[in-house]
Amino acid sequence: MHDAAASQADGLQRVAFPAAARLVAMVHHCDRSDELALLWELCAAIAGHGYSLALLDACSTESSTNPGLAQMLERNFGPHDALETTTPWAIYPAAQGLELMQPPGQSPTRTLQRLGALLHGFGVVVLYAPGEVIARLLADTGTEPLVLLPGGGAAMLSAYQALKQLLLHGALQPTIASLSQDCHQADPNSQCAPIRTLQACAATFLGFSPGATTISCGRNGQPGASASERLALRLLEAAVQLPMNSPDNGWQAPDQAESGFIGAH
Amino acid sequence: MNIQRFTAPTAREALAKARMTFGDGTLILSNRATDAGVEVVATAEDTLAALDRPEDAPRRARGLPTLGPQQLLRPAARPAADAAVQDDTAQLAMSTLSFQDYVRERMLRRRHEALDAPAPDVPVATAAAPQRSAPIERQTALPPKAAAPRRPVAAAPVAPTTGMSADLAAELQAMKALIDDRFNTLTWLGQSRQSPIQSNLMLMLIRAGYSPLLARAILEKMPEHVDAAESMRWVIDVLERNIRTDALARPIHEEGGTYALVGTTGVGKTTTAAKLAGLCVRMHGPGSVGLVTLDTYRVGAHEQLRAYGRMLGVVAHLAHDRAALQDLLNLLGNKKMVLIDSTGLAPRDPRKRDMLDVLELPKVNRLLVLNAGGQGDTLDDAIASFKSASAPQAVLSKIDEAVKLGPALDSVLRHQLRLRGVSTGQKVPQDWEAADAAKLVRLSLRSAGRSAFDPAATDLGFYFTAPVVGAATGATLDA
Repeated sequence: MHDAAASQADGLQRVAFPAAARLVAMVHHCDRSDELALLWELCAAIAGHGYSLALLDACSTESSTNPGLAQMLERNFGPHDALETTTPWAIYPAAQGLELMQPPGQSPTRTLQRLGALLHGFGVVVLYAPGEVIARLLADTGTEPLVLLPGGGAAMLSAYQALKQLLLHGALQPTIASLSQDCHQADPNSQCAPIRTLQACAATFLGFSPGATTISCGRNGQPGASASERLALRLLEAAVQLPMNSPDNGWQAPDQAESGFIGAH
Repeated sequence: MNIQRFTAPTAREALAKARMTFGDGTLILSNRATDAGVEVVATAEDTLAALDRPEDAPRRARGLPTLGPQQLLRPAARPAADAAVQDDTAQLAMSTLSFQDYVRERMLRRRHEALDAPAPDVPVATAAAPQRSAPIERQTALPPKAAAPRRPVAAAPVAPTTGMSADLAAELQAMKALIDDRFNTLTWLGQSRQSPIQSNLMLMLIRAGYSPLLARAILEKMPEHVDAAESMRWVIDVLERNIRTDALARPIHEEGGTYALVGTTGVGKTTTAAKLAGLCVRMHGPGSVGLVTLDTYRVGAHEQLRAYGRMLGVVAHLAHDRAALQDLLNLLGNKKMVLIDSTGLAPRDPRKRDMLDVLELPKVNRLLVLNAGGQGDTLDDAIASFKSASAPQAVLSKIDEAVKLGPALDSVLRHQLRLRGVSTGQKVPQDWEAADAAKLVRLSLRSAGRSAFDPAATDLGFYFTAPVVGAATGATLDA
């Protein structure tokens, strides 16, 4: 009766490679209210899938009272030291830390290795940062950062700017998400929908048509949970896996060995 | 200068307090989280206006647009200015809000909502209380019997003489077919009795679970004048040759592609998906596999696939409809293997058509999962319901649980399914083998001991004769 195997999936432990944290990126480029609402839903969806989550907020600066990535780098603060009970996930200010991690001339591979070593206990790391930071940190990793497109002309311009930064400086092909208060009013296939305009602009001037998705908002104006969950899974699929120690120790797919990343796709 | 500090559990409430004090022209100076909630420092717009009036330099220095004297003095311009300030206020509050603050605020709001939420009203059971929707739908779907138009008996048309002769001809034709069939059966039985080897082989095949139809089709073609051992080898050879497998091709997890695992409930579709994913990951790495489930019906279906996915480092997606599935397949287009786990449904479940429609996408191959221990008619029903029209493929699951493999192999053979593998136990992914026709046939013909369901040699005649009317009734059995 008592088999040596404790569960039917014990064999998978031998098949599976040591789980490395996946890094998902969301670009900050405009009014934060919509971005934060969507970020909340994405984090909730990822955590709901059983991943332990850490969020690096490059739009917040570390301080002695609110330590973050900079303090982790100075080794006087561990990622699990100050996990708050008021927030369901580990959220670290990271504006200074990300600057410190990327001295001029350092390759993104090295930076991600350090990040992987610092946050090795987490399943998913969400990076919320301006486009230029993401482009620098994740250059050539093949990940697909998320650019939110809320309504309004200013947001369109800043979204286009973020797209351009990601493409030209990081060779990253982002995914655009637009929020729709009413799915009937904001048909994403409509030629005049903002998301189509942005796609057309990117195709015309940057030679790239980004993938786009529309998220319907609920009655409370917040992004819908099911659409956010699908988007979160999509981002996870395109996430970059943080190297666990050094590239020599971690598994690499044969075709991805040269890049130094364990791509999720 | 009138600057005040407001503390509240949430930023929204703190802002409301500030607005109550300063009115619509409230200007938020700072916003920070405290132990008690959120602290907002605010002042009135007039205060700022008073500061600006002597000189606008500080305002300009902060990059804010200066207010012209007309805007400050003209009452008509005030609402517009107020609105602008209000927008600025909201934006300023949000721009100082970090994600940490946002999360804290939402958590606090949730907590307050949970505390403030009124106790749910207990519905009073009355005669007018709404019933469950399903029965209502069923009631509305079925037309009331009373409303059905009754056909007057007197109005029934009398069959013309020509129609009667057509019926008679049809009946005669049916009788002729029945007599032909009976004579053929008797002839065949006579031949079998004359040839004890053929009779024994027939008994062996039927005891192994093969259908009389297949057994007879095979034995009719058996060459004459062969001894017992040779005839046995011949039957095994025929079975092996006719069971189609992927023995000459690469195994499914090496070949890759997009496969939708379909089948009835409880046949092991999710476990099979996990096994195939595990084998593909072992060969090509976690980035080579895409997992999608369409199963939004079974409780915990997505969670189960997700758990396997987490172990393998593979994201398990959920698709609610065809568009979502197409979108996901585009996303997973560069994967070596994409496995779609579907909802297990009974063959006659009305939802089956919808589910199969979702899978009608280019490059999606249906992989039918069949319980190797299933009863022949049940398997035939499942195959007829789920197999794809072209190049049908199947997997036999629960081989280890099957007492007789004959019915499953018989169905696979008659429906010309191509076996892509067999599942030999619960262990993921170890209990998976390539489909080997020779091994399966040998396994099916092994002696399983005595069984109450096995026919005796003398019973064979019953397999080829129609049941006597009433023979299977309860009264006959009781007698």
